[in-house]
Amino acid sequence: MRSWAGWTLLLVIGLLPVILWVMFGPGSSEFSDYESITHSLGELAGLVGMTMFALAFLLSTRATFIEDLFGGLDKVYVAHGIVGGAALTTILFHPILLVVKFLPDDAWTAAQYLLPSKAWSVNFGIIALLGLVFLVSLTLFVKMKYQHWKFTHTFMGLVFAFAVLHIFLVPIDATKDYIFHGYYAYAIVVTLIGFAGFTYTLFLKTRWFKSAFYRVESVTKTGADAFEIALRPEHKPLAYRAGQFVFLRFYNSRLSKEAHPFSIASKSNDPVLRIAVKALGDYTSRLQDLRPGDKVSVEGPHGRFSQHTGDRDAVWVAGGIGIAPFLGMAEDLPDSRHRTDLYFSARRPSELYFLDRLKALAARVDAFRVFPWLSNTQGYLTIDGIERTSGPLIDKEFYLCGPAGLKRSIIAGLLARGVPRSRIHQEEFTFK
Amino acid sequence: MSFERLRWTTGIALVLFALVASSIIGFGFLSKSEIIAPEPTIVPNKPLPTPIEATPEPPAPIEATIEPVAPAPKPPAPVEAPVTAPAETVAPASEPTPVVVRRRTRAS
Repeated sequence: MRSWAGWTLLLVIGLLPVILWVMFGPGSSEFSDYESITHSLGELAGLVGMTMFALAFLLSTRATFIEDLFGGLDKVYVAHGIVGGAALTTILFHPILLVVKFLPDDAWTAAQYLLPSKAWSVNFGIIALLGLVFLVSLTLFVKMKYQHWKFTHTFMGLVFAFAVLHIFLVPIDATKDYIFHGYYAYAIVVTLIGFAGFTYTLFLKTRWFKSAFYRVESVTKTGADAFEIALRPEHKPLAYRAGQFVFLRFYNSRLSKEAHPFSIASKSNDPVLRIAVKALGDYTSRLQDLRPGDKVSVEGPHGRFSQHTGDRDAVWVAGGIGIAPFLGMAEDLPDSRHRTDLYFSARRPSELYFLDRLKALAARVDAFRVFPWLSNTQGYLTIDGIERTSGPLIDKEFYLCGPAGLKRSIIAGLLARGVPRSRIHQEEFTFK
Repeated sequence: MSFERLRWTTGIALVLFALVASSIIGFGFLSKSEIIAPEPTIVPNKPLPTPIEATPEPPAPIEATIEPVAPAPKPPAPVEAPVTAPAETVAPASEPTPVVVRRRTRAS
């Protein structure tokens, strides 16, 4: 499910300031009484939070080596969200732990540390904290258009700049603290990681990354609210595996210029790149207005969803438009002794997109079976239902793509039956 | 961790931070206003109540102890005076009092 290499590395780097503090810091005297303990923990919370803040920028670069560490870009984005949230939470503890030593006797001094003052090094920290709270709150709690959210998220770089000013100036200006030997070298490294990640993501990636250019060949409606876009390469086609995804940027006056992620619905290395889209929001609805000949830049491919297919009997579970990666994977299936059962869950028949194509494939390949499942009439798809049809599950490989609720219930059922996590693969559907 | 769980955890952290930080700031302002509060009550030309109560009280017990003791040593003085004074004014008993007795002659 998740590559622990990436998470272990994140944990070690995130906790590096604690290790440096223990090794080269002021020592055990800083944990001798209530005042020194809270003060030291406050400093460490700030340092760990700042490190994770910088790591969150690094995770947003879509670098291939990071994708390899986490087992897919979708997992990297999940890690980016978790690290960002953890950075904010840790940074929230920083000022509170630093001022509790003044309580309850000197509450006014404690309050002054939390309010803007003449000490600009502290004010920079306050600005960074408030900015981080505001931008993370927008991401987590406010529903907005993807392009608007992405625009607001670019201000994270400014917030990071204020945080950098704070970490460099506050030990000289306000606290006069000795943190640990080599603190400024460490602060420089953290600053470079953060700014490099931010600058690359915002300005350099689009220039340096080799995007392939395609043209829209056709837009075909496949249901009440879904359609398929076929793209033909202008020059050399992209090499990819079925089940991966790409970032597409459409050059069309009716569409915004941000790159959006889409699952590839065509078989591996097919020169014609097909994507399956459901009109869920403004942007995806407008994609129906694309005209043949419109230019598209394609960045990728990303994702490791289908890398283990073919080794053993498999069960695929798709919900709604989550069928997209399975369309190409089904076309790739060899007629082997390993059987693949696809459970395709939707609320109503009109949402069983591409079912005719899948049935045609199942008719051609003996080892491939398709089981449509209508939750409005049959109830939710359960692990018991799958086991009744496909037999014992313990030795099978599982691939899930669809709504979070469906995936959660299936994964819980599989784990309860003793299926190892390493054999459960899922595509993270949302990116924000 | 799902997006939903991330939202909940971060949301709880934000709410807790807001509560704690606003409590500290509020408590700080409250304690500051308590320190400054006596200043407006000092009205010009009006003496503070504490010095007035403090100054008259200590001398009182001192006076009280002196009063009963002071008259005691004085009585001997009047006692000596009556003893010496008559000695000077009254003639010794052995000496004949120079009393001049004049018999009145009858004038005939």
